[in-house]
Amino acid sequence: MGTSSPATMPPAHLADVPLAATMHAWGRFTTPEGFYAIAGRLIPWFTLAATLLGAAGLYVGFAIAPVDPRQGEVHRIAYLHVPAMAMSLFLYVIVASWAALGAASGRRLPAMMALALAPTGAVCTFIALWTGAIWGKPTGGAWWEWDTAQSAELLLFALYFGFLALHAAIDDPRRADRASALLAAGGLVALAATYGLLRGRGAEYQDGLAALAAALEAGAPTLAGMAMTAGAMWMYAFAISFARVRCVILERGGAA
Amino acid sequence: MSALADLLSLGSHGAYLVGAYAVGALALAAECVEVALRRRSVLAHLGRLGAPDGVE
Repeated sequence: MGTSSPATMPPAHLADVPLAATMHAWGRFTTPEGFYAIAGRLIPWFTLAATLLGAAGLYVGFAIAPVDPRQGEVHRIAYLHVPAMAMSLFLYVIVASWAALGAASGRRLPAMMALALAPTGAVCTFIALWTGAIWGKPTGGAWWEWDTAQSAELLLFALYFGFLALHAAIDDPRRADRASALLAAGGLVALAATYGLLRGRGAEYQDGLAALAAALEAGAPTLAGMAMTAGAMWMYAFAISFARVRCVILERGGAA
Repeated sequence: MSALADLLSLGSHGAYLVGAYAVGALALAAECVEVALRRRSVLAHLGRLGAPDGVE
């Protein structure tokens, strides 16, 4: 890091108050202009971490972890399916939270973050749906079953699609942010209700939690491999969403 | 898929395994390409293609 430019220096009346100066410095990163710069610096590190964790996780998962005695080699789809499914759900909660924060506070960056994260969430949902179907065929005999996790994933995909489509359909970005925030919040309630209803009906599925429990049972290498691929997915989500939010900031004239 | 699965000795259901990872890799790669093209497009629109990165 070079010397601080005038833009990064706290105002003179705050310079002698360490906490206030620190708060001022952090406050810069909550603006699109400040975040644009910090995101640009962080993207290579997140990309590197995602690559290393992904490679290590797949090596452990394929070369060290034992074969599942019931499912055989096809069980190794879990190293992709479980992280993708977990990420799709986590990201939706984060998207809804950022969107709600942006709508409530009127600040630009949270809404931009929600918009940048939603496509990544949709991609994770797409991967979870397809890998779930591909995993289900040889082990359960069917590509699709209307069970808890797969139904929730399908709803989640529709919610991501709806969020992005609604945002794209409204020309005024501020109005689009507010409308899609409302949809995201409603979707969160619908998702929780669907999940609760289907689980209450006694639907069964080898879902993420069950796979995690199986990994715990199978031993340390399986769990370590899954933890590393999950970490890789997190790092990837940070890297790609930071790259996308920089595009959004430029498109809205926040850092030009 | 089957040929690759046989090559990697992944057993009778190896094609499913290869197929699942191929779907995942393609989806992630497509997202990376989409973001790269979007960035290129917005920079070109702003006349900043090839200019130093950063806030002006």
